Amino acid sequence: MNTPIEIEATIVSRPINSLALTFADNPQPRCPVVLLLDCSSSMQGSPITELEAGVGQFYREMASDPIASMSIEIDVITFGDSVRKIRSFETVADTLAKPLPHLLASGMTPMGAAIRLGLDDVRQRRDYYKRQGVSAYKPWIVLLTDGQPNDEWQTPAATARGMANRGELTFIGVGIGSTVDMTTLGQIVPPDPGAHRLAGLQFQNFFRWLSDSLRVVSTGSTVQQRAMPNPAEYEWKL
Amino acid sequence: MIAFLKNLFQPAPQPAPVQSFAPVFAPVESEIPKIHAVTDDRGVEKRLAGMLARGGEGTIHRLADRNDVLVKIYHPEILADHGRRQRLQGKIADMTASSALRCHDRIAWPLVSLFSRHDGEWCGYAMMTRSGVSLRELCGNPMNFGKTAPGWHRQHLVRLCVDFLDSIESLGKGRALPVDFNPSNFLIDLKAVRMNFIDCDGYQFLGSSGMHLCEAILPEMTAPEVLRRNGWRESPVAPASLRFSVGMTLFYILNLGNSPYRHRNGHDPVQNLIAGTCGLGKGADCELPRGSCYRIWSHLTFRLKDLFIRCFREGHGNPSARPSIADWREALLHYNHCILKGYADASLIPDRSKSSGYQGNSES
Repeated sequence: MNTPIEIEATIVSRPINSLALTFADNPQPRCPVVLLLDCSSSMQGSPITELEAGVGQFYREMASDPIASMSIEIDVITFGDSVRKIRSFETVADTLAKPLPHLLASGMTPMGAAIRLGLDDVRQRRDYYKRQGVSAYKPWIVLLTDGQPNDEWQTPAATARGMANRGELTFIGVGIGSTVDMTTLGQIVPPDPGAHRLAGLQFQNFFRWLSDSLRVVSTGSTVQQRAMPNPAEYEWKL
Repeated sequence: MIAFLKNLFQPAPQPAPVQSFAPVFAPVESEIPKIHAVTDDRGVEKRLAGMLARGGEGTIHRLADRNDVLVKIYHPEILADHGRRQRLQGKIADMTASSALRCHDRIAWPLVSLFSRHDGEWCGYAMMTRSGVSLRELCGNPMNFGKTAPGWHRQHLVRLCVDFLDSIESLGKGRALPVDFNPSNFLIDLKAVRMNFIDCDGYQFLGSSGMHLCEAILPEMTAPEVLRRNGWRESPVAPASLRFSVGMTLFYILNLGNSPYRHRNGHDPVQNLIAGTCGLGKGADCELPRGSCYRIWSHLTFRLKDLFIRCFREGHGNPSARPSIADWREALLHYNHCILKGYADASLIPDRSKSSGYQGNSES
């Protein structure tokens, strides 16, 4: 091999001025992830507590990965007595300093409105990436619910399925508990990855699978998607 | 030789469109067991320790009783594909027989084929550990660069580039060429400022039984003519195509994770790569997004800029125009000289783009 270049000791590195770096200075392709969380009254008690713990764990696991933390951007929308965006798209690294709001369970299940808001957020975020000259992975929407929608869901569901069929979206539905309407959930989300029933309250296992899957995404190509880790290994599916 | 591997050193028997989205969940086949232990071809059993990493093709494990040996086990859905399993097994068998590369100190080269303890079927291979921070982790996040590589400046990046070129040359002499230039597959020894290569699935290798092709690539770093015809799967990738990927990697290193196909048009860099919409240019002709990417580019020497423009603009449709390894090495050594003399900014990200009054203008 050729003689390596000798590093000159008198050259002192000037630190990178992080404050001067902009959104576009992070060259990592972004992956927008929307969490749609059912906070209706039927989620009171252990379900909402475990769900909140799972979401917190998800943030921590993403933050611990040096690549994913600069790539994955999370948007959190709850639906119950109203549809509320409790966290707008930011990378996990940017979010770390701000504690997540507590999840409170009350009200009905306006799932259709939540899906509509999630889809709008995804579209607007992708337009923002384009204006900034930043590339992006296929967005993910993750819907967790223990019931059935009590508003108009067919239109946003059709939009989401259309996007999924065109390779523009990954939309997974997770049904919680024994009263969830899996038939309707299966009509809302596209067949791949489809609707799946959560084993008990295994939110932490589910979010561990989700964070490992997004790690796979964040080290891959924006135009190819590899198969995700097998959910059976994480024991979150019934 | 390590005792375990010494016993196993027997000649191994016998060998778009670009967008593709695999199903999110691989087919779950309950009869494919999880592999906990493996054997070599003499039946000596070794147990696997916890998983270290997961990639697109398989998982990486330590052995339960060895820290200096890693094992790659292919994913069940890959092993279940009989044709693919046969191709991989043949490729690994030829690779393990390559005396030129099994002793290479920079490459995690397959040394021994491994078989599942459960059913005796081939499932992966063992290799020596190669350590370091991935190039993606080092350069893909400027905000963390100072924490990941404290004290590094431009000269470190240049040295890494030259080391990378040296390794590509030595691999070629061993009849192996990397085709998948995924930055996750280059591990950087931060202390020695050198690059280790991992994941032999990304290699095209001429073995005793014939040419073994690369199974998967990262489109972001791959020549357009290869992407257009899904070419890496069907026929050997030509050296001129690999020169494109070498250029992409050098740009990735020097420009801290950016692509020359980032463009103010905002389109995805892979789409720009295929279409030939390159952001590089001199002065007002440069269409890179304004920010750190542009500032770094502006401070590169004219020789380097010329080579990058030749590689990605003229060389986009004309592979023979792409610079050779010797061209890059000469330009990098000149760049290093300019840094030492103070003609080129040594900082990782200059505070301002280079003005025409900059001292180094005539020299560079």
